[in-house]
Amino acid sequence: MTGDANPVTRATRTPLPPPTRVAMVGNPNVGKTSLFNRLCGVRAKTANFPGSTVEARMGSCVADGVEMEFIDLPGVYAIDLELPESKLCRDCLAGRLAGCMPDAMLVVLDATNMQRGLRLFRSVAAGGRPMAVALTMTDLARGRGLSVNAQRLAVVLGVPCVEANGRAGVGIEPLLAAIHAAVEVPPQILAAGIAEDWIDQTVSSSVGGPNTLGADTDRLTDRLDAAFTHPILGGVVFLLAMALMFFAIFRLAEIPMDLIEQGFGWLGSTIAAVLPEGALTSLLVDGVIGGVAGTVVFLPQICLLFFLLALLEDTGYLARAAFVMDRIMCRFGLPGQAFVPLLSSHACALPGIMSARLIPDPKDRLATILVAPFMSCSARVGVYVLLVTLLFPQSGFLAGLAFAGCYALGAAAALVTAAIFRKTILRGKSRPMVLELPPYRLPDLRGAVLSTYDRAVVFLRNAGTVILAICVVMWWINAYPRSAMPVEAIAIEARAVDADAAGNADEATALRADAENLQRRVQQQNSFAGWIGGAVQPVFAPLGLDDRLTIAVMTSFLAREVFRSTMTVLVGHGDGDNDTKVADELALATRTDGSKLFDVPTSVALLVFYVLALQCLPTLAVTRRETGSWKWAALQFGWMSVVAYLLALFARALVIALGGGG
Amino acid sequence: MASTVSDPLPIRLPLTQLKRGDRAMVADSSLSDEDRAVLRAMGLDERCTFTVCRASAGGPCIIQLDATRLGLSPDLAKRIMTRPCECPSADCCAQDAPKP
Repeated sequence: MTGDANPVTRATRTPLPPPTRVAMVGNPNVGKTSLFNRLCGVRAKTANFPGSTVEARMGSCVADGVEMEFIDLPGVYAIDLELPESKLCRDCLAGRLAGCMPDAMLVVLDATNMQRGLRLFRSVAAGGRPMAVALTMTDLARGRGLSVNAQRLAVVLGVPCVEANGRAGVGIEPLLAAIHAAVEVPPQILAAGIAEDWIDQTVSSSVGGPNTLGADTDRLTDRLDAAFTHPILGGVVFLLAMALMFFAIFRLAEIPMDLIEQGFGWLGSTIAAVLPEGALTSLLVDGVIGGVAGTVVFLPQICLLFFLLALLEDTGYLARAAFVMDRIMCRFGLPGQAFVPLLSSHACALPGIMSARLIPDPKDRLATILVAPFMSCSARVGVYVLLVTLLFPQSGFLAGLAFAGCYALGAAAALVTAAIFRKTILRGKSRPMVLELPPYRLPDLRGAVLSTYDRAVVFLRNAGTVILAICVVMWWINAYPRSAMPVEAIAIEARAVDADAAGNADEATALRADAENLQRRVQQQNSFAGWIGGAVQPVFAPLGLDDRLTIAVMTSFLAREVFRSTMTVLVGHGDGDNDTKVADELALATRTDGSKLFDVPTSVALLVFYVLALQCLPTLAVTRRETGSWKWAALQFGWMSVVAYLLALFARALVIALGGGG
Repeated sequence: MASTVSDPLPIRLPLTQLKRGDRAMVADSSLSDEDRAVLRAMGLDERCTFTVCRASAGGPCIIQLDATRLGLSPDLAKRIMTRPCECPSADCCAQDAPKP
């Protein structure tokens, strides 16, 4: 119900009559979204309505010169339930959604499950809007021995009724014609209070066959369910499926991620070469391009995740997986569906948080979003490798163990936090775990692509607005106030000129790199970020952090992977591309009193802090978007920071108490 | 899922105590009105006969009613009392079910 969603386009072409607004309603898993995708294709977007925690998709198409706007309401079992999706449907029917009353309701009925669909039809009919019915899953119904008669159903219901299949694109034109007919000549609507017997009679008269009220036996589904929902075998299958999915996400996303990085790198260097050196160039290259690149680089992982999730959901397997995982997750106050977002967060918290939309209960969903960033994402890996190498330079086994421990610590923190939140701020009864297990079927590739496209657009829109603004602010506090080149750097530059004159090009290059490093170090220490680092250093002192480590920790609140490059600038002289080389340089770094900068207690405290702290501004922006409030993003940030600090403090104290040096 | 007036079979068992392949009808439950309404909307009410696809005393259950399969958490399933059906057809038990 966007009204004039695209007024420019509309004004420049032949004026069309006002669009016909059609709200699509149906039970879950009836093929409603496939039908919507077929009707609207890419001309659709996800819409979050004010005051609603559920979303609907909106799109349009033109049929016979008349524009139709469709709204794909979330699947509901009944519109009178006290559930967010039912409320959204009620609001739509009452014209409270974006202030628009739908011109017609399109009820999507599953031919294999007519009783339940007809109950919903009966409730929608009470709204008195013109209606049409799309009868889906007719191939499945006929395969089960039912005989489906859409014409007879249309007569009984008193509304146009068309067989349609969104996946195959069957019945789309007749369906559009039926909607036209319903709007132009509103049919007689049946009374809403009709008895339950009417539903059985309607089913019997329009869906005949040996199993009129549904198929009782489905051996293949029986066998698959026996495996997929088995307490042990089901868990093994689920772990295998997830392992395959995440292997694909990590591996297949590598190439496009590299290409995106290279593309933004090329763009940055081209702009830097064309524009004169100065604040504007720095803003564009380091702030805008650097900031956006740091977020957009995750787009391939996000697309792959949502594409694979859509395929899995479409096959009917994901509901079984949620069912299996519910046994474990419910101990921590989370539903089975939370497992996928939490696992996804190991790739990146952004898609993990976005995939929490799979969870129907708002409190469960919120709890999952709040704890998802505890899971160790790929951006943490670089920091883990560096700190673990510093801790165990001689033992690959212990380093590996510590590395795995980081993942375990993050997961444990997530689950414990979820349990705490569900017993305190998110207290209340969860929706009872009752899941419809849809029939197994081949996935709809087209639908998966469209769903992925939709998610990608949402993500890019976020990256181009909130995240971009945050990046520019962070660039500014890192880049200002500008520092003059220090005397030492000027002297090194002069030596570089002498080396050049003496024909010693290699030495000149090395000296210039040293001068540049020195300049960057001074700039970083004197910037607003440096000032903030200096001001908060006393807070981090109990963790063993000096002013340089504090600045590194503070700057990595933009993105934690910044830690390594910041430390390279503040301590080292290398190019920061080689893990071992950086670790060697950092291992030799000392404090002002001559003691090691990265002693064991400090390294352990830093490692624990980086495992648990939320140092990723895009994550906060996505949390705000998904929860609709900065309040939850602030809570997430505050809670994770406090937990990270306290556990890091504890870890440092423990190491010192165990004689690990201090 | 309120208590029924007529009760064709005296045996009542929690859903979690049924075995795979058992047919039963919902007799009663100690669920909240809200949960009851959700289950009713999903098709699980006193009028339907269902078949147990998976059940265990402490674990989740899967039941099939008509063409739909529902997975129920143990907490939910143990609060649903059922009346086992001996007959192979859904219709014979359904005739004894209370009319809403």
